[in-house]
Amino acid sequence: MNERKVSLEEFLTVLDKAENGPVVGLKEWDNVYIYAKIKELVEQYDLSFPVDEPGVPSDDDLADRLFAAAIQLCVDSGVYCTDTNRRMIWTEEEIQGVLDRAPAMLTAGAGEGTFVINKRLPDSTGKVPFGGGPWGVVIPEEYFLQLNKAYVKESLFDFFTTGALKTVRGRPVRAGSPWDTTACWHEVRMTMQAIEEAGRPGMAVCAPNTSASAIGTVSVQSYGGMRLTDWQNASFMSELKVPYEDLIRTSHFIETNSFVHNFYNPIYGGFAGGAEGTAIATVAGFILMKATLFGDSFNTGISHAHLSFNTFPALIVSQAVAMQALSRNSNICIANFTRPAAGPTEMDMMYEIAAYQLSTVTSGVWVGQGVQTATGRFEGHCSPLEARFAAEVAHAAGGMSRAEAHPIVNKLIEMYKDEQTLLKKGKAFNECYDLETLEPTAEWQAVYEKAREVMIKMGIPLE
Amino acid sequence: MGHRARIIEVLHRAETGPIMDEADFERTLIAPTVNNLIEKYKINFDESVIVNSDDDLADRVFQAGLELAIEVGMFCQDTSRRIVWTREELLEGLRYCPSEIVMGAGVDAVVCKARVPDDDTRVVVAGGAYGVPVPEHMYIPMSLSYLKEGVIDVIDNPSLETVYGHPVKAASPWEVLAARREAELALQAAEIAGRPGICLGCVELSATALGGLAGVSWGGYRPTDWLHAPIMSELKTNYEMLSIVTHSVRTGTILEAYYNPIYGGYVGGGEGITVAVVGGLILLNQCHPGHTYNTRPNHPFLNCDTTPEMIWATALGVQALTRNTNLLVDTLVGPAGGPGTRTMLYENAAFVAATTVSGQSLMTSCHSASGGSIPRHASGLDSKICGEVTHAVRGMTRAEANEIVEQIIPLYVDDLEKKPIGKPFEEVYDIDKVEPTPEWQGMYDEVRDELIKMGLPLDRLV
Repeated sequence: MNERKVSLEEFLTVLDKAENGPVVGLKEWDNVYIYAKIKELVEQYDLSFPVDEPGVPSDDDLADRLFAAAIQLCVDSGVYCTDTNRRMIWTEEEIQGVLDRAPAMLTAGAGEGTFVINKRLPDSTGKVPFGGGPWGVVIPEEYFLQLNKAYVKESLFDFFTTGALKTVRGRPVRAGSPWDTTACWHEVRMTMQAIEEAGRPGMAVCAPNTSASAIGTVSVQSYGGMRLTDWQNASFMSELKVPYEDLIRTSHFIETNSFVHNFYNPIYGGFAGGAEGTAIATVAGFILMKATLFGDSFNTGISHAHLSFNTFPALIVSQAVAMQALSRNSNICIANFTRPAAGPTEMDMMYEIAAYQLSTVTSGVWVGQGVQTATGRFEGHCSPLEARFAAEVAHAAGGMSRAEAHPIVNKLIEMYKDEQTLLKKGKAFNECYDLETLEPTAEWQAVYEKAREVMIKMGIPLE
Repeated sequence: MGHRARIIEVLHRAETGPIMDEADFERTLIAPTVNNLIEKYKINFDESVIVNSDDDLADRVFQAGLELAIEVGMFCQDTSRRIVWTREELLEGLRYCPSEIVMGAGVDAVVCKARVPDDDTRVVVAGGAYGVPVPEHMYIPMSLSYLKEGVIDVIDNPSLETVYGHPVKAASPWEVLAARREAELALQAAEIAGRPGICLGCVELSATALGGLAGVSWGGYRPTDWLHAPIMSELKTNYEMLSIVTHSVRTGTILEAYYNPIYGGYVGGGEGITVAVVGGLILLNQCHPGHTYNTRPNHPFLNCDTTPEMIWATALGVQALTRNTNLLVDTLVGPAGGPGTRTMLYENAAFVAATTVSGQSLMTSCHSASGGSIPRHASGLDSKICGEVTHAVRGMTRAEANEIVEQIIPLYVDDLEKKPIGKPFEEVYDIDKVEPTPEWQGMYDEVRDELIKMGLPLDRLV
């Protein structure tokens, strides 16, 4: 058996915390340890974001105060284990130890599909690796394989993230049942087939996304399924909560030495509050996921309480400052995660993607990710073209400063913000792509090219 | 339909089959059906013949078991539905079941083949402290006590009492850690013994599906090991076990499915047990499509399968299956006696002789000391006697074996109710040297000589 890259002893202390920490009721957790505590920290650290002119702030002191507030939240509140109703608590020294063990460089993928992820800072130059895919959007079984093939032929994607199967062999996917494992295997097999046929067998795959409980994930991380060079997911629930399901996933990943990606989606307008509060929750969440779930990389799909997307103007600034706080003060590998309101063929979606990628990449994210199109809630509403566009913007933003990005992001926000609530979901994959050639329709290709022209004119060097 | 591809159809039927209350399934379906079949096929326990030689009776038992499988099907506890099959479907499943499988890897691999009663071909010997709870520090020495016995081809592992000092909670991260720790220790023991490729039974610590899934993965148990997925008594499966079966199918891991009917329960006495064994293994082949199929009927009070009636029933069930199918049939001996007792050695010898001449492909041993329920009560010699008897009786007729079994049974039968659990591992073995104590080795040698005198050629070379 291989030596583990994560200290088993440290993971056992995490499980101890989940089973022996102070008992707290769920309401008390949400109201006292999240809502009241975050509100207090926003005031204590004088956190006030320019939500009227969001863009990309360049205030390093603001970012550092945000980081300090998040550390305080980590120590004062910790994580809530939903299966034991206990608070998992870390001391400040333990939290520092967690930060100290984060590496400044990672590799993923295998063979010719290997890529390096380097630490970045705000205003850093250099290429940002990009993970393209439908990111969990529900995909009909009929064209799941075709959709995978269409994504993995995009050369700008360093890794691929799958969608979620709606059915498996025509049957519904029941969580925690053998259908869960069967569906996850079906998803992974169709994904491996796609990368093999694309001539990219070493390409890292982030899956399974059909997994509704731990058993699907645990089963496919095995012989003939997911490889140790692929990306496995475990996550927090809002706010700063962890169920046993994710600790189970984590125990398997640690034992198999898997590459692990963690994510946490604070809710804007929920217990974490507004832009400043969700930024504190985001930063604390990343640190606490590193402490609890031992991820290699992390993202946040921060979510608007009613509208689900993360391109809402106040969220653009919230995430930008959060990414700056993390990249300036830690080696935690941060990824962005694009979830626009609009969907394929809609020009607004392109503006949302561009604004989000520009603001987060110039704020120091290490990895670009996307796109969970049309809020991720509409079956089949995603396509490789918007993810290619996101990768192009991310790469272009890799050479820009926050100050350069700021006015462009503001303009982009003005171009889409008034129509976000319309949820222009656009077209599904089989309506905007030719399923035989796996190429976009002429209409969708024209929208993409027009969007590129607009971006170049605005000063984003896509060319 | 391919043997293992059938799992999708199994899952489909588990969600669409006829709905029934679980209690009704056992009370109003299994019990009367088994009773009717016993009468219809005139199946009667004759205590004067423990190892049956009546082929017609064996074939009638097969027909009764097949009818049981058709009429009752398998119950899915999670959906309260019966997974039912037609006669044609069950027969097709039997017709194309695996009749040969390679277990283990490299030079440690062994071939398990379908056999028939009175067969002279080699039987695979599985040995180990099958599920017996042991402390972590004792896991490797206990495993080595089995691994060092050359007669043992395949290992079945003990169960850890704790993992890293913590209790193992089902369906929690602890279950995953326990499964992985078990795999780590089992692989380490095999490596120490110089048998790295030996096939390892797994995952013992799998209270839910999680242990079984997590244990068979990168760095853990391998596809050449032997994943176990049982059903519950009587004829009940659930989503946990079906998830393990699915995992086995997708990872290409060798699968053992097993079913342990309860003597005196819904299937009744010996006659019901033998019908249930046949029906159960036919349904296992259909619903848990794997490679080897095991049974270990259980006496509810003695926790063993070595009473005369249960040996008769188990051996007859094996005959019925091996005469009429190519299933790789396997039994597990569960003696009442434990390490350091003559009782256990006699029980094991009688049970293994009876089931091996009846045609089993694989002999698994053993659930020492009250059916494996007593912590630390297991040792390598417990399985060694089983392996030696297995090889000795190859080619012997059932009638010849019956004469020997009838000599052995009186030597232990009166002790079964005394719960002769014997001694824990550390009292019958020198843990540092992994050698039996002189007392335990001496007792073993005496019983071995005694069995040779009875006509069991334990000293045969070929």
